[in-house]
Amino acid sequence: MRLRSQSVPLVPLLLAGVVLTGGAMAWLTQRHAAVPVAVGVDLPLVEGAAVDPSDRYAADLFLEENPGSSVRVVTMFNQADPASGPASIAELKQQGVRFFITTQASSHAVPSLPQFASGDALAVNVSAASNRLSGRNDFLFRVVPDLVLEQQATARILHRLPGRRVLVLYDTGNLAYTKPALEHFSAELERLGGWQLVSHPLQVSAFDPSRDRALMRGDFDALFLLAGAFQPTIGNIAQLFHQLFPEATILLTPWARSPAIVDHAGPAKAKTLVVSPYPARRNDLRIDRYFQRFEQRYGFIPYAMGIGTRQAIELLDQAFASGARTPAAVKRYLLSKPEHRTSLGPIRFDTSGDVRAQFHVFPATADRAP
Amino acid sequence: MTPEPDQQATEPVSFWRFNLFHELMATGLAALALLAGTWFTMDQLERGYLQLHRSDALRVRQLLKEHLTDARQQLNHFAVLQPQRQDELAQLILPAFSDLYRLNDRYQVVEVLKSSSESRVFRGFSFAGSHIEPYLNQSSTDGAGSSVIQRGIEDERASVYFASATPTGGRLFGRLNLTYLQDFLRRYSQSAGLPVLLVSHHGFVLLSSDANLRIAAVDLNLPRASGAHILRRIDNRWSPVVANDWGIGAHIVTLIPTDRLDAQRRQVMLPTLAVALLALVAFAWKNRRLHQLLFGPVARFSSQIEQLRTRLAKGGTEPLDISTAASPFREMKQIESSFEALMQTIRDRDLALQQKLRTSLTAAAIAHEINLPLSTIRMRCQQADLQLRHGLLSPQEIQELVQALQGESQLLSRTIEKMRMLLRNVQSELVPTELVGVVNSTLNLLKRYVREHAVDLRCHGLEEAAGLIVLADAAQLQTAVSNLLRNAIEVAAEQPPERRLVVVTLRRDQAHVLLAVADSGPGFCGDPEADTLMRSSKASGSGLGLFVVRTTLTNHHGRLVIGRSNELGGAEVCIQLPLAEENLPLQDSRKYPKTGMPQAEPSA
Repeated sequence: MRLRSQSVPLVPLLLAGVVLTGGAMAWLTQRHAAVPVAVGVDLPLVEGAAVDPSDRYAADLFLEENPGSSVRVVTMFNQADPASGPASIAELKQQGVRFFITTQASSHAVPSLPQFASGDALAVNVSAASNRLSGRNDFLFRVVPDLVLEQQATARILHRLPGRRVLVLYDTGNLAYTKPALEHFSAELERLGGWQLVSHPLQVSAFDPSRDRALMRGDFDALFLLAGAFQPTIGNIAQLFHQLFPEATILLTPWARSPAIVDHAGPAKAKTLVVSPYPARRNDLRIDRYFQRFEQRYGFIPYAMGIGTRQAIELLDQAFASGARTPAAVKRYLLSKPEHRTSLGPIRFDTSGDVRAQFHVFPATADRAP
Repeated sequence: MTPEPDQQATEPVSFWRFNLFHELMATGLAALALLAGTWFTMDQLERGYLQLHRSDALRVRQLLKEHLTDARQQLNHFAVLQPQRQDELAQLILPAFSDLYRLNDRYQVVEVLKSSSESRVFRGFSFAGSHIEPYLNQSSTDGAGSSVIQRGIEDERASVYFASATPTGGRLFGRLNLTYLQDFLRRYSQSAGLPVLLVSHHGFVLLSSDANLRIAAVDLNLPRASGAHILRRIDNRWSPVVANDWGIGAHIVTLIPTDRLDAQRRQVMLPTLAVALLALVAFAWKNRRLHQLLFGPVARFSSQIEQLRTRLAKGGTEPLDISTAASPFREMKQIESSFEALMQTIRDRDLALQQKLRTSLTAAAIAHEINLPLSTIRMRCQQADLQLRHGLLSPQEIQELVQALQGESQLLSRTIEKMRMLLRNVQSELVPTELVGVVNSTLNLLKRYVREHAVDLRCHGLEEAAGLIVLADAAQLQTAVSNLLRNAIEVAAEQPPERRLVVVTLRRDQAHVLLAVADSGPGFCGDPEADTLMRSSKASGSGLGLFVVRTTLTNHHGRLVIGRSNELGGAEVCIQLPLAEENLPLQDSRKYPKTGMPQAEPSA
């Protein structure tokens, strides 16, 4: 038998080798092209207590639904001590992380501001409403309105409610947020008129019902719990107030929109309203479906900050997909468009990287599955 | 028969490439199989290793179950006490419980019997609508068991709740905050060297043996205990082994450091990889040696054959020889010896053919040379016959004619003999000869020939060349010059009358003398130096004349140069002869040895 050239398929073999090598190189290239993004995991509420991984899971769910994304998530822990915030960020920057989605409260975010001043890193914050972060030409973007807009909206909502006296308990564990928030809330309420305001400081994380009951002494038509960080104790406080004033309305900040708080609120949840820049699940199909997917995947409903985390990671992914790979380039991208579309609603940054949004008010139970 | 199209298009493949490809495939497949087998074996070993650690979780579970059972018994005993006794003893007994309440039927706290310092539950607090309500609903129906491990409403710590009905109605509701379990996990983790987590159904880490781990959650939806799911925390990587929940409401997750598994895998895979690489290296070495010892020599052998074929096709006369292929293999030696025998047969046949060709050429050349003298004899005989018929010849004239014819025939015999000697390369006796004399005598002989062809024959340099001596056989030389002149005259005669020109030039060129004969004919076709054995500038020429000239020059150590005349445009044939040493007397043959030409064969 005469052997022919076709018996030795060297050309196909070489082609296969080239394809395999090219594929391996493309995978490696893609691997190396992945951009690390640090996603914050909210601070442990109490030592030894469970930590809510909603934000980390929000990022993971995005990556599962978008396998082609060049985002690579790095976990960042927010510890209780606000002074640890800058150190946590600096440590990750040393490891080469240049992009952050921070879930830091204002107490942590304000001290961390210098970390995003020079342009070696860029952050999208989803949780700090302090106005000390507003109007700055830096590398910190926020997908939530600052407390000025938030508190003015809350005051307007309260103004529409029946009643005369409102008790405001503001959390001393996050004065960077609550103190200026109270000022703006008070100012707006006074401008609108009709309500008398009584405020007391309260450390939510150290809530003692027997001791703090005294703060609720008096006659009130409403309670405004000026606290955040999605602390479930807020529900305990709401329930205590409701016990004393069963007919009074309880207002919660956007940073108390959490199933855990509703869980602790008991009968108070029927009188509890939540103010939020995001609509209620029952009123928005996108958010409803997102919560459904999340619950189906992880077995629980996330707190509202997870919505912001999802939007933030989508923004960064869009920026990376456009070719921006440095903080400066991403900043240019984020400021280049008047509106960025995300799966959970549009985001419009102003020239300082802040947003203005309409606020919604709805019962605290509106985020339960319809 | 017309070949099939595929037969026309394809070429035979190189055996070396064929063999290399198949060996490469086989070796590669074997290496892959080895690596795959090793990997699979390692994977199975790791699964077994992880499976072993499941049993560790049983110990933790057992401890917890015992504790829960004790707590349940304590609560049940406490529940049957009188309410006043309960108030007194709540702080003293039930050590496992951090909080104890009395609830109404609306799950509202009626009385706080025991409370932890950080508890946020108060009198009037309602558990309705909380994540504890399902347990309360269940306990009111079957009255047994405990809640799942979950976040305590009091302080968010990992907690288990118990409810027990009281004889007086309502129920007792207590909480175990599982602090003791935290201590146990820490001690166990230190002894086993493995971190252990208590994880809720939602994946939240409720308790951790090491708070520094900072693992917030374990995704329980990912493959369990398969080693495929890796937890990463900066410098650490673990493979979580998840023990199923056997009623405690949470999962016990043991974290196996993957560095141990990775080290094991490396210990096995690295030698396997080394073996595979060694096999590939051995494969490469073996093929290289095969190429050096077999395929290389075969290729060189083939190349030499090709060179030989090319040489033969060009008519080369160098000896046919081929060097050995330098291969140690018997098969190769056999091929070489067979080929050598074949080559010898070809050499012998080639020699025989050359002998026959020379014989043929000898006959042809002789015929060529004697054609003119025979024609002359024939013409004279015809003329004499005519004259005799008419009685025009006197006896004396007849006698002279007969003597002339005798002379012509003797000359003819000598010419034949000379031609035979020339073509047999018989040793020629070379004597100093004045070349110009040879040329003049040849010109004289061809005077009539020139006149008959009406060609203008011009000579240059004959007078200046007088005294130029060469070692030659005058008769052979004259034959050669005569051939050149006759060729030139015949070619020029074919031209129009005004262009029938032949020029003979004789001059000295350092140690040689050059005799050039140029004509106004068309010249030689193609490369005149290529194969002049049988070339001719005449359309009907046989080329024998040049053959005779070349043979003569070979005998005289001369050289034949064929080119084109710049002056006349036709052929120019130049013979170059070495000058004899100066001052040698002419015709003194004793002082000049015979040429070293090969001996002629005996005449037939």
